[in-house]
Amino acid sequence: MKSKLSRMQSGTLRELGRVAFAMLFAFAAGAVFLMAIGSNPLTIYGAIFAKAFGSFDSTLRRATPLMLSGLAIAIPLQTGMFNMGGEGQIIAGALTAAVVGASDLGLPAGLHAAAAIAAAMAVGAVLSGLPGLLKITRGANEVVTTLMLNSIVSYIVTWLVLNPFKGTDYSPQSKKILPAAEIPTFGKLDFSWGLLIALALCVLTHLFFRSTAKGLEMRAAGAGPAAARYLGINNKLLCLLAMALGGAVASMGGALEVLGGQHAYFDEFFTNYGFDGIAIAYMAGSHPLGIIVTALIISMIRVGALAISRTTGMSPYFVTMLQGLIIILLVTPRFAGTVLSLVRRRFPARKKEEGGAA
Amino acid sequence: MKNMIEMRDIVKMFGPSCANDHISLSVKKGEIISLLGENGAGKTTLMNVLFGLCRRDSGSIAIDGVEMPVEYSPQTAIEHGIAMVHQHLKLVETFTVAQNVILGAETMVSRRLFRREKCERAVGALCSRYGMDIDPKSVVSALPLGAKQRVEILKALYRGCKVLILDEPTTVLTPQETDALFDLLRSFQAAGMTIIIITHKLHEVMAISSRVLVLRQGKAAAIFNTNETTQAELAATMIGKTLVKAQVSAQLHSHDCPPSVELRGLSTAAAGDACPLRDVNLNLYAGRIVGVAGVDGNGQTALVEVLAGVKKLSGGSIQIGAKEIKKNTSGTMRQEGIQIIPEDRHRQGLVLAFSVYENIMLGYRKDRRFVKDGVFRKAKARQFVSQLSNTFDIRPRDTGILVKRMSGGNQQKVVLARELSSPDVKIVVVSQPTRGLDAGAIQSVHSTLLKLREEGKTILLISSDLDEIKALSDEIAILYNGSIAVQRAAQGFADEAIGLYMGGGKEV
Repeated sequence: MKSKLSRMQSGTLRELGRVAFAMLFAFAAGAVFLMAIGSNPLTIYGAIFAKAFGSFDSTLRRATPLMLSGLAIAIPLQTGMFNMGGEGQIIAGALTAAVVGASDLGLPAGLHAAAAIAAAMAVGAVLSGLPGLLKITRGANEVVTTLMLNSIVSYIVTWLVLNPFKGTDYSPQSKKILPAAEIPTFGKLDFSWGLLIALALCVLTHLFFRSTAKGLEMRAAGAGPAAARYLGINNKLLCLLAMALGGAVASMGGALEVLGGQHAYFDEFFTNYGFDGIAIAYMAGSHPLGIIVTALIISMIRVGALAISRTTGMSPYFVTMLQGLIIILLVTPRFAGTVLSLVRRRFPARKKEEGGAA
Repeated sequence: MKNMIEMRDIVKMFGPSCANDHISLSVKKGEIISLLGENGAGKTTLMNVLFGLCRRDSGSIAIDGVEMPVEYSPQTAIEHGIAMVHQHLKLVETFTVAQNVILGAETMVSRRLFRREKCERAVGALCSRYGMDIDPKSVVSALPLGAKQRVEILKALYRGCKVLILDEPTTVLTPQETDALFDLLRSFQAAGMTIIIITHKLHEVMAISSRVLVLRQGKAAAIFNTNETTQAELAATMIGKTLVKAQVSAQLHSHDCPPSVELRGLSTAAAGDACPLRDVNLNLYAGRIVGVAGVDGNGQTALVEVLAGVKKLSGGSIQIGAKEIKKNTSGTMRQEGIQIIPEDRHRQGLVLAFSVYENIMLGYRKDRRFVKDGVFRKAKARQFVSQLSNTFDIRPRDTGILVKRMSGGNQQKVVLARELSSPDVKIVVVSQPTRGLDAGAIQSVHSTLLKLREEGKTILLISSDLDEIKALSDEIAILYNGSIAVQRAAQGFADEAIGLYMGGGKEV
């Protein structure tokens, strides 16, 4: 038991170290870049973190859909499927929630919000389920189909919000949702109860994959498809299911932001939420609990980015560059190996002490 | 006569483990010597060091009197006349025999062009000189395994090798092909070539080599002249104790009982290179082991896949008791109590990235004892898995360890533990259960199978290891070109006859 615990810890610690080092290195490289163009990195980074921590409630609000966007990648990935369609699934979910939320269904508060979320999730499940179906029946590469669907969905949603679901004549936005469909915020703070839903979903996903038979089957379908087939597991069905779940979760992220924040669908608002999900899931190693942390990190630099253009004149795209650097450093195997050997060279003495004490 | 190969005090470490621990080996010119040892004894490593694939940590090597530097490449080794035929052949499947042979050693007409006809003629001449029946123009992928191996040997000859190293050359060959290979090797020896054979088959050591170096756990255990030793002595030296060979009890179960499983005219659609089933008829009996022998690639894979339900039948049916199955899904086959030990345990048997616990629970994910409302009852499941770990002697006992970090023998025990511990096991299909395992693990697998036989289970054993088939089976069936050539009692089924059927022949 003891050895198992230390093994788990060392594995997790190593992963954390890897991510932390990649981030530090990215920030260092970013600093060099900033100095090269004549800016003071301390001012810029100072502004980013001052904003991210100063308005931490905004960070939490933005982290809500980002967590779900990360889960939307991580869940299908357990079965070996890549859902790159988060971008489209989020906006489709957001518009669906806005439209359902704005219709008078005669439902009491809470139930109306739940109905809006459920409708959004259904739409998301269809959007990711279709590529999943094409994959398992026809072998169409789901990376390509989900990516392409993003553009299709994005333009359809824009058309919908400009035409049938138009809310005002002045800007591309839908009608305001009814009070019954709103998800309440915490007092005057920026984030809503949606954050708790997102957190709960991360924990539930973790428990699902760790402790249930279906979860084990799904992971087996991804990690050992041949063995799974020999054990009578229907891999294809599970892949499809995981894809649909991924899309549903992504759309739920869009819905929570509309119901708990915007209270209407604004076109172009959700740009990059889906692609950030890829970074979030990757940094977390697809671990649902890790996603909570990495979603917070990405949310911080995204929220901070809004501040730097105002206070320092630096383009907010600078943080997109940082984010890209982090991912590049994480996917570079040699780099990770170098980090690992550095860590190992640093810590052997400590390990020996532990062994001696035990 | 002077020594062709002189290896002194070779040490090779892989991390903390010592693969070669001060091993010395000298081989005379024109000698055939065997390296004998279990898996992991360090045979292949020693030869990789000689061939320049591994850098030695200490010790010295001289080839034909020339001292070799501490680090040298296979290219250098080849220049010194060393050639190595690996266990897994390294051929370009889409090239012709001649192209494969000359690859890397082309006779050039200019910087970019080489003469095809001239090369083909040279390769053809080489074939006829040693009496090898191979057409230099045929494409390698169309050749049987034995011939592919000879192409590898041709490559060595073409480069003018003086020392030929063969790593487990007979694993995939029929008895006849093995004899042919040995004849070929003897003719090389007559021509003055030095030959080193890596093997773990005792009778081959006796048949082909004049001396044998026995390795055990990275150390040189002993060196024998084959005419002064016995197979029993070699076996004892190899595993460090007397080998007790698994053997079915002499008393056979009565033959007049009806079969518990009948395979009737099983056929599958052809797909890719794999050999499909063509009208397979086979009877299995409770309390008996039916061994299916045959050269790899004659439909073994398809037979297991059909019984596992992962490959659809295109014709025929499987009769289990009163039930006739025509649509074989993995769900129905499992329901009928068929348990599968697949041939490729890394891919089909296990999820390598999973722990022992997870791999075992995959087989019990619908078992009410361990799953309630779809959620694992962790305490009970963990207790069950550690109990299995004890029963099957899975090492290490820690059930949280990932199976990819375990040895092959223990991985196989995990598969056995999962497949054989269900209360409703009736039929067990075992495919290549001991491939790549060492002697200790082989023995434990064999005794597990014999125990199942005692318990009255129906057992189908598919193996390309003829010794294994003969040691365990009550009846032997031979699979050739997708159908069963013969099924009969193992007793009195002579090796020559088995070899004939395996090669597609018939007894006269």
